[in-house]
Amino acid sequence: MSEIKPEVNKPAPVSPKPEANQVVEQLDKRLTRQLAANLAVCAHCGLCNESCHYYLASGDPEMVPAYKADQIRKVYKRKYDWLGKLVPGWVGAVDVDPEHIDKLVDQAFGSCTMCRRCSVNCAMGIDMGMIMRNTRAILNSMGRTPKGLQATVDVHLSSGNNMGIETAELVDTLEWMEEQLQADTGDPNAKIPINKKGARAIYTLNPREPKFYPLTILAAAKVMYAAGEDWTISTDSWDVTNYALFNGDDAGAKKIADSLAKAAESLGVQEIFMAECGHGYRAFRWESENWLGKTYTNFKVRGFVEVMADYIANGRLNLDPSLNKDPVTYHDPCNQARNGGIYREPRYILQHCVTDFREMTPSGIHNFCCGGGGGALSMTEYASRRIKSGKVKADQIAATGAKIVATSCHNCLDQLKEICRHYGIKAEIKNLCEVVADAIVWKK
Amino acid sequence: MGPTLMLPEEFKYLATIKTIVLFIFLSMYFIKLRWLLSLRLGKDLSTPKGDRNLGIRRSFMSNFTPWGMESSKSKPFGWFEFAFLHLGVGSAITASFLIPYFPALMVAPITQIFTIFAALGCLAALSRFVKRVVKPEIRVISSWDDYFSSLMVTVWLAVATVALLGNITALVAFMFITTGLLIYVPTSKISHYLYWPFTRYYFGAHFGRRGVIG
Repeated sequence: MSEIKPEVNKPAPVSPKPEANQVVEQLDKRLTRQLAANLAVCAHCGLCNESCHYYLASGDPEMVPAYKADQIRKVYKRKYDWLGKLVPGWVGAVDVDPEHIDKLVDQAFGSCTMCRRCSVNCAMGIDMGMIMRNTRAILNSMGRTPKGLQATVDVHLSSGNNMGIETAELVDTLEWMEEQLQADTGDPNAKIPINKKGARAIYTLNPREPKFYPLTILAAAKVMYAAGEDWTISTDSWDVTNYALFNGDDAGAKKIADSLAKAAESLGVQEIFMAECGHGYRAFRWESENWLGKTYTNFKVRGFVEVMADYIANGRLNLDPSLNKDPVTYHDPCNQARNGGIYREPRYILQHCVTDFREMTPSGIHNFCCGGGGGALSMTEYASRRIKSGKVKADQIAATGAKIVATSCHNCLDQLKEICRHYGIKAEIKNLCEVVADAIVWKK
Repeated sequence: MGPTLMLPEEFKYLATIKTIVLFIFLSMYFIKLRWLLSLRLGKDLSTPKGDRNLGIRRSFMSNFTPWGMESSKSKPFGWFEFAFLHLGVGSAITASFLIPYFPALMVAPITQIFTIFAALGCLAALSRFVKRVVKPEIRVISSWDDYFSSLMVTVWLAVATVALLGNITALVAFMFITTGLLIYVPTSKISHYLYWPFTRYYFGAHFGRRGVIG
């Protein structure tokens, strides 16, 4: 793959030995039974090759998933494998040097979105996502996370959301959307409740929504209004995202998750609705209890897609599919479908909201990553590679002939917009709640 | 292969050598497993959505249900290659134990079945070795151990096939190579089967819990 060599967050040059030691020490610290088995088991059969969008789009052998995982496996073998200790070259083990660390950075951050498509296509069931996140965590502890990704986490930790949005700015936007909600529903009492104690559920937001896509907030508000939901938004903690899932900073991830859990507890809600954000959903729903070391007992966590499907199943939404006549396809965000188990719900929702649904091939848990996962959008140094890898998804969309691509993730949404523009596909990209909101029949 | 392929005294020597090598082989695996089990087990505290046990069952079945994985569904030849290779290895290794320990069992149709599987396994192993040498995307992930292990298994299966057809020289060679393999395997990538139950179990538990599979 020919491209500009990415500039990553390199610390001041130091002697190679301490940095090399850090990689091995950190690997040693993080080595669980699962990680060791996943590193030891690879038979290098190559079955994973064609499951990777980076490899399919570039044909570059260095984009083969097993090759990418091998970069940390080489370090593992040097330290733990019998032959790796005695004759490292024989099993491909290496001593860590600055060049190898650069390679680890490039492979873990710039060549893998941790979508785990290769894992479901691996004969051994190797959890490549786990290997890559651990590699990222090792590099993060050495200050080698690409600047953009690190900044996203730092801003979140310092300001409470990843875009540094002030509370007053958020409240302004919510009030504006509330006025819009009242106008659209014809109900002057329609509300976007803020900090409502005892509400049944907290709804979270992706900072991109108040910043760039306020109409997504409106769409979600319409759905909850139509369903008669008792909900609120907490100004203490409202950001659905947690990019520490991507930079491998467990302590940061824990702090971010804890802030949302505390907001839910302080308002006494029964549920947290995770806005349509693939990684945000996965981070809080599936990973945060492990970071925090406890299982949530005071509240339940659901993705908004699950909530909407539930509303429809319980007859709480009056929908007319003929209000969405254009052909619609659905892009499964990897963190929601393959990594989160939400792939039946979006289809159920679309069956009730559109007249012409066209499935991509493959789809569901076998869906291809759009290329925007793993924090890729925040790492501008890998932008050309990201766009190139998105060709696989662009071809999938084009093959459906859909005019609307619905998805449930803001990273996917932005990447899909970019690749459709880049590859000349005339399709509108929407969050699923916008499609649902468009199908709601309002009582006159 | 008839029951008089080798003299009883020769079986006795073979059985002794095999027992010593087998002890070394199992000891090496014991050490490896003990180390693996000494590591911290990552626990999942998340509230389950799906059925973890069903996920585990599906995970183990995935190797036997090629239609479930795109990588095997889209390349059925590759899956048959995988299946024949493993059947061949299974047959040859079983034969290598039956010959010294239970020579009376090495009669038709058992020997015939083993011969067919070993021959098919040999072809599959050869095909995979050629791919490893020829295809850049496989070459890039191959170490000397991968090439050597692959070649060794191919040769071993070829020799096994000839030996099972009744050739005494091939039989002696087969037993020697098997002995060498038993020593080498626990140190090489061929020992992937030791870890396979672990990774398949973890995969199934993880994705089953999340309602992704199952």
